Amino acid sequence: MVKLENIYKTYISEGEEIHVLNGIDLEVEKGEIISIEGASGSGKSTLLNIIGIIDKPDQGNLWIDNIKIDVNQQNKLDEIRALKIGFIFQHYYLLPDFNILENVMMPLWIMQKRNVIIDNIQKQAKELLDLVGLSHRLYYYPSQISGGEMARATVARALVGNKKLILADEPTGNLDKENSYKIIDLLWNLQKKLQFTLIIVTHDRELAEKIPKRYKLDNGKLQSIVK
Amino acid sequence: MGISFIKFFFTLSSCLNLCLLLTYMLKRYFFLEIFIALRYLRGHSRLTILNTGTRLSLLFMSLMVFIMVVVLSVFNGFQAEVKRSLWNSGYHITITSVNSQKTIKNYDKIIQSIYKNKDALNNNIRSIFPSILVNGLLEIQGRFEGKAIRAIPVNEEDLKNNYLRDFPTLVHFDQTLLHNINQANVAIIGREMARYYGWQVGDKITVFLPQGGIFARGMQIQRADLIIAGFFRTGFYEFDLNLIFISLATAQRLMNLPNQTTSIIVQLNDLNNIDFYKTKLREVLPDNPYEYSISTIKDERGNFLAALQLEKTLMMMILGLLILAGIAGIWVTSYLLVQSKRKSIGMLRAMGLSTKSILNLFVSYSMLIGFFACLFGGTLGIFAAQNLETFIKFIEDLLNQICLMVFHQCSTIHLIPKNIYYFDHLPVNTDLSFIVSIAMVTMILSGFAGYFPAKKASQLEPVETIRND
Repeated sequence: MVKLENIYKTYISEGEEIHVLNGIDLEVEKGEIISIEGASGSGKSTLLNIIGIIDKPDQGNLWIDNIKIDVNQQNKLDEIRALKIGFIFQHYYLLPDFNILENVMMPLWIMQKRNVIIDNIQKQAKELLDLVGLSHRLYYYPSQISGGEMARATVARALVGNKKLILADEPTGNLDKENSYKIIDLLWNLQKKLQFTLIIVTHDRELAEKIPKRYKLDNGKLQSIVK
Repeated sequence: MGISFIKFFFTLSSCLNLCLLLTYMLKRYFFLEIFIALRYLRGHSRLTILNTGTRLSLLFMSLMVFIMVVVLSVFNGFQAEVKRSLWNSGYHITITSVNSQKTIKNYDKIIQSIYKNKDALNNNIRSIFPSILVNGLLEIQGRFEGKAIRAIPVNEEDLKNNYLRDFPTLVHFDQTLLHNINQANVAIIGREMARYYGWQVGDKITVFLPQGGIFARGMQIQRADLIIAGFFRTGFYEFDLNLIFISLATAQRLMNLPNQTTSIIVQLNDLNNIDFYKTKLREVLPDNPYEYSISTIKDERGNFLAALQLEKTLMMMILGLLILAGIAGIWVTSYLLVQSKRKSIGMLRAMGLSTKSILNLFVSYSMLIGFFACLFGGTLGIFAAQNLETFIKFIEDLLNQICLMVFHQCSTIHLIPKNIYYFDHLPVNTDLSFIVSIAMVTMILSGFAGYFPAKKASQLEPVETIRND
């Protein structure tokens, strides 16, 4: 599903070059769950953003669903993101001007704009919201619901439209323990049911230990963690 | 009737088709962008109508459109009314002899020649008649005042039908006196002249007219006592104050000009392209056409009309600047919106919304402000313009009441003194096509104002907006 080959990324901060990613190679199969762990500032989110093609590597090749990514083809990148990738961010980034149902419908509208025929957008969004236990909050606005509910809405938004690749950046980072467990369980159950590929960036040890395939990012290199 | 109905039907159906096509295209291609833009207009909460920035921007812009519609409606009305008065009061095309001292003796031949060629003049000739225009002296208690005396023929048949062809509208007259207009020394004077000197119908006035030539002792003049048979009103103050009408027969008799005239007047049905008819008329004049001088009302009053147009243009420019100030407001609002929506833009981009859609979204937002401003401001403007007289009357009454309450004695306040403009009513002409043009320009400019912030928004990299956290 995802293949990275020799990915490099360097930032320049106060005139100093910081080599965040130093030749990353990674292959993730369809339906697999992996975690990327590492210390704060180690480049986990950068790597996830590159996989999600919202950031560009300085060097290296990337394939998503067997499509080689050309970072200069902006329209193609937008299309791949719209059709194949779902994001779950630590800060959720729900759109504050839209209610929860509309937030979940948004990716479908964007897909529809790319001439994808989608039947009954509202029904699909409602079903997913029901699946994450938010059917009673459809017409609430993000500012009117709790953090746990926002996290679940974000999960629904990422999954809607049968996305094959879900990228989760610290999905439990803003939640208390109880809500963290709920979100982890939710993700696990949904993954079993929908069989999407899940890449999780986390420093939550409890979450990481549940994941069968773990990687650690250290000094810009990715190392497999053997249990 | 039938043709205008078909024309109206086709225009209406074309408009409807265009609207349907536009709606379809908007829905098909810009539904999402407009939907998001509408939400940004509304703001975060369902309880508020609009967000603060949008509200201020919309209010300011609506006010600008409102002012523009009201002011230009009054200006249009004023211009149309003045033009109409001018057209009604003056004669359209005047043919005179090149030698101003010389009278025209063969006027019947000229009139016949023009009538014969009326096809070449697009059948636009309403009437042709000989006319004498002289400057006379009006005696007022031993003083003399210069007045213009215009003589035009009065048909006896028309008189029997109580109709005075080619005369301005009579507002007050004596039927018996009018019936003798060809035989007796009867005059019709302007209403303002009558008011100014305090004359009534039936009063006698004395005028001195030129007669014959200039002699060693001076000019030969003829005294004539004229009885006022009625008052006319053209709506143009200068004319109504300084013009005396008599019949051509009377003038020829008084001035000893049998079968002669000083000019030939050509009245047109449609005054557009008056210069064309001026050129054409010269081609149809008999004998040597260059013996005659042809002038139009446009030549005579062109400067006045140009001054009116200049005033309107200047006013439009000033109001245009106001609109530009409103546009600047929209630019600021759009810019602030882009700043406040950075994260949302980042998330929309992460979800796959294209840069083009982001650009369209923010341009739509600005255009929607322009659209609603035109809708509110335009509607209110039309309503206010239509009821301006009532509003002014209300304000006048209010001011008069306040004045009386505070000072106990004060002269009546008139915001628009009628004697200056010489109109019975405040002329207002709400030209819908003109308002639609204003709306279109405002919307396009609003979109233009939103373009640069929108461009900035579309260039935002999703990772930049998300990484800030």
